[in-house]
Amino acid sequence: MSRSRIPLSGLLPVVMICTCLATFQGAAAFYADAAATRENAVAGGVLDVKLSEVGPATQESTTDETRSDAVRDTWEDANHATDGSETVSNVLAVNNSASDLVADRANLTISFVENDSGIGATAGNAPNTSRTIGITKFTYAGTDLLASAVADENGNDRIDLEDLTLGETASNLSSLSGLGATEAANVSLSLSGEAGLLSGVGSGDGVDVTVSVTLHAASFADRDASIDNTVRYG
Amino acid sequence: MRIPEALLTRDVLLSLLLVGSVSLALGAGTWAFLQDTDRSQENALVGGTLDLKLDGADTATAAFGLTDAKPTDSASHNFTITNEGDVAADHVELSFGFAENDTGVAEPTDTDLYAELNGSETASLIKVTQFEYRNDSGAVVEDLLSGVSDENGNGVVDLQDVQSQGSSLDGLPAPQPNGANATYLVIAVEIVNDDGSSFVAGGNIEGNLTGYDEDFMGDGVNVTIKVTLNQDASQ
Repeated sequence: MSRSRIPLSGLLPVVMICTCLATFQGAAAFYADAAATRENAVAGGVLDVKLSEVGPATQESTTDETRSDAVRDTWEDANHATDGSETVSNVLAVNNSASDLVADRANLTISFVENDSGIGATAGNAPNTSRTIGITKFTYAGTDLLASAVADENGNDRIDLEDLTLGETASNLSSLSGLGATEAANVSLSLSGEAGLLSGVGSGDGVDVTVSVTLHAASFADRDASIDNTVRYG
Repeated sequence: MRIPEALLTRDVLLSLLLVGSVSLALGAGTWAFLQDTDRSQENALVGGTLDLKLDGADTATAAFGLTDAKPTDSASHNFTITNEGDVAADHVELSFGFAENDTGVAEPTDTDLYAELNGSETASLIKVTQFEYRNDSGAVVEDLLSGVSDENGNGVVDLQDVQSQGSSLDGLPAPQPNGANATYLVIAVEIVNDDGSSFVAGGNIEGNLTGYDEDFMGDGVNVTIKVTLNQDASQ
């Protein structure tokens, strides 16, 4: 069997074609250059209010909670004198030290629900009970709120617990001065109930008061509260 | 006189050898092809350059940003894009992205506020208010937000939406070579405000989002924009 051999000269066209292809490929590789912007950090700060019970506390009020998101029994007197001879007082510290943002305003919100005990209590009279609980001291960050923010909203010629929840007073309490990062301000509140101011309110009638503190930084908001503050006539 | 036959044969052979040698020598000379060499010197073959600069550099680091940010805080930057090379480019291509960067402040400890977000969730709380490509005179030639919708349903067009729908933007006009002019990329961002009229509170509760702007606390992203200058339309 004879083997056919490709003459050396026969490879020349193949080499030429390969060379042309390589040349063409090189011509099709266009330039490109890139640049980038990196490490453009966008990150959120923190607004995290904490509450502490400072004291001096009266009656059954406590000072056992610090830097918490919820404190209890800050203003507590479940056996309150009916004749107005007792005052329930405490100081609640509003602390912004867990934040790195300045709070541009503070909001105090007072609310209450009925919490009666015993057979002498009248059901459904929480508003009446609240009207018998006078506010003898109310300050925030050294400002006397009784002089600057609170009015006799219910028109009974005295400043009472219900007034703090109504009308212009509630609005005023929602736009108090803010706190710098790491700063703190005290809320001092004293309540003194006198059951005899209104008929139908007596021993066993009481309310649970909630004092909420909200700090704002633009639309960031953090709301913490003192809860289970029972003021009930003994 | 009669020449002996042997002598005659020898002389003929010598003559033939001589003539053959001379002929070979002459023939070899005839077959040598002519060749001449000359040199053309210093004909340099140098490639042109396409050299993109962003704010005058190959990498623009931390050109814009917001740290310890709160809602309504904003930041913007106008990037200058130039071709410092001598080869004309056909067009500019942009690619846009972000990556989680929580190296700022820690998440709040209040359980009402704690929401550890990933990069994409964080990006959904960063509104993009401006993303434009401008020519040398500052006129907007491409509003890069025009084709981006509120895909995640929170009421605003945010970084997550832009990444999802417009991460690669091609065919933008290129600046002229040799730095003869510039084009510009403008981006502006703003932290979402859930009190704002456009924001849909609770509109986006995927993943670790609660639907409110407080989720943004303690979370962050790094934004990256890559700009590519291409020489040919086919690229």
